[in-house]
Amino acid sequence: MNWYRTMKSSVPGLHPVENVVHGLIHVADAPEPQRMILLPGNATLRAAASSTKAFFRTLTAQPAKARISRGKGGSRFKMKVLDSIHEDGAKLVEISAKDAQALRADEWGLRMVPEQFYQPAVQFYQVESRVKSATTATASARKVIVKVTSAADGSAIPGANVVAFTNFATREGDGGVTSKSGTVTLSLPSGIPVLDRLYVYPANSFWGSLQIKLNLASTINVPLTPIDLAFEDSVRFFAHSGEPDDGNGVKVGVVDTGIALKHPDLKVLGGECTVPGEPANSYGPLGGDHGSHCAGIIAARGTPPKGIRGIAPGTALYSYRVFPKATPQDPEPRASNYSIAKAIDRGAAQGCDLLNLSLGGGNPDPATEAAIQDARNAGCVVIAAAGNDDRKPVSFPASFDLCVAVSAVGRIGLFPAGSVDSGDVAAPFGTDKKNFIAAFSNIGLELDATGPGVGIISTVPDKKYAVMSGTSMATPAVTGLAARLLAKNAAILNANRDASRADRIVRLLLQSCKSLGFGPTFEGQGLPE
Amino acid sequence: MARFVVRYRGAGDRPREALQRVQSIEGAQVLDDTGRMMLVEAPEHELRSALGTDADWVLSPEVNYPLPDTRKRPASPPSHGS
Repeated sequence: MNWYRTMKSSVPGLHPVENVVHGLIHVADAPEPQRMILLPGNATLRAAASSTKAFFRTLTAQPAKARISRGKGGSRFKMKVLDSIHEDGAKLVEISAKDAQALRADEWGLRMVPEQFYQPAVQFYQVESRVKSATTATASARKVIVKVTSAADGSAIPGANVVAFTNFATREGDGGVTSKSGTVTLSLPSGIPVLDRLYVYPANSFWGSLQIKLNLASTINVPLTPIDLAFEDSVRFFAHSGEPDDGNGVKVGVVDTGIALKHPDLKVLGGECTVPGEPANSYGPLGGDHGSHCAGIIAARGTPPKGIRGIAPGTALYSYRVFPKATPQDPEPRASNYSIAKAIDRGAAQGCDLLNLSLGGGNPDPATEAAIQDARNAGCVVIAAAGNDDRKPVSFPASFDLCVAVSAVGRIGLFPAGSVDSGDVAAPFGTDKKNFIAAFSNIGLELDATGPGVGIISTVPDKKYAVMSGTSMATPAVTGLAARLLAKNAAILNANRDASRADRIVRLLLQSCKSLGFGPTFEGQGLPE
Repeated sequence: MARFVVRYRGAGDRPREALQRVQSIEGAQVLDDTGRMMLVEAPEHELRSALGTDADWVLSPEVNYPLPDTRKRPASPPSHGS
């Protein structure tokens, strides 16, 4: 959040009291009003959209501590204005979490941050980890062979990532990748009769496997279930496969690892590689499988059981590759904020209506924020993943006020029993008790929507298909739904490309949302329709 | 030397002198340039001085994001013989 960083840097020696921030996040669904600070989305009222200006001046005109009750486009909210710096400045308000979400949907472009309290930065030392006893007594280790095969025909599955945890809570364990024979040898303590958890992640074509409290043997056989492309996964259940013309006229940019250009289910109309030092026209999947999977969720054009169908197959897909090509020296290269900001610039300049960012982490970054703000001023909306840090606060850039931030929802029964996805089931459960917010999903008041993100089947390079889970998958589901909605609204689609257009797209998306019963901290406005 | 993202947010084209000042920093390298934004390798203090206090410039350190991944990984090898 900008406010957080501004305060932190402008008040030497003072730092936010972190537990107050986290406390606000965790109690955010309580009906009691909280104190929040409202700011124009563009930092100054001069630069804000006209609707935001009018709204801010309405607040300024209210007598001190007035209670505002209003709504338009179907949403209603109440809040109490406690203080105002000046007409163009911040307002301190008291508002419930539910009303805050309604306000955010109604006045897109408004920044809303919790009031924070600061204390002197007194340094003290804490014990961060304890030395483990006898961790190097390798004489007591035993070798365990894990053999991964197809449950359909018993054939070996090479390239599967096998992870065995002796203690899942402390993440102690061993792992490796299966060879051509489908086997991998792990080194585990001889004194442990039961494995806490055994995960197997195939590269593609199969569902992953999770076994809990597994009796150890010298050889463990793990049969994997092949992917059936006609299977109804969470995307197909919550968002439905699109009609061929869903998304027509809408341009979507996928800012990611690049998209598989030769996959029969994908049609990529253009894009750019924005990694410095790599060719600009190299926007294929050189950064990995992730971008192709996201693209398929949005706009795959196949027909089950030979292919898969995305949410808005008529969408014009553009690939902006920001993850570098992997090398032996750097097998897991990272995407820089420069590449990401450049990709956002390029996407907006090339007329993308929506940009999908299934990436993020770390602290707010001014360069990325500026690019997102410039994209908004060009009528383009950025939709970003909340992050997969197991209930931590929404990560950047999703936490930036001008991004649509997306959490991940799953549904029991939409993945095979014993698949890795069964490990993502966690409270809270929705109004329909089969629905849950994935255990990995980050949460917080910055969330705008939720999307299906557990056990998702989609396209990967080499004309293959894979199952992936994450807010990375939930985000393109919401992007696809936004494309479908926008294609059906010619007035917004054909509007002048400015901040007001971007705000109208977001409003269209968020006002279509229906709560699944998790509360705003977990689902924002809910699932778009 | 650290790498920085330098972005011009003012109206119109960026001032030509600013780029010249950045290029004149000893050892500085402009690694990529889109017109509106540059990736620059340079000492931070000198780079900030070259850009001055003009609010039209945004300067931020290069940050690298990992590929999102929900797969579990061991953080440490198992304890043996304890």
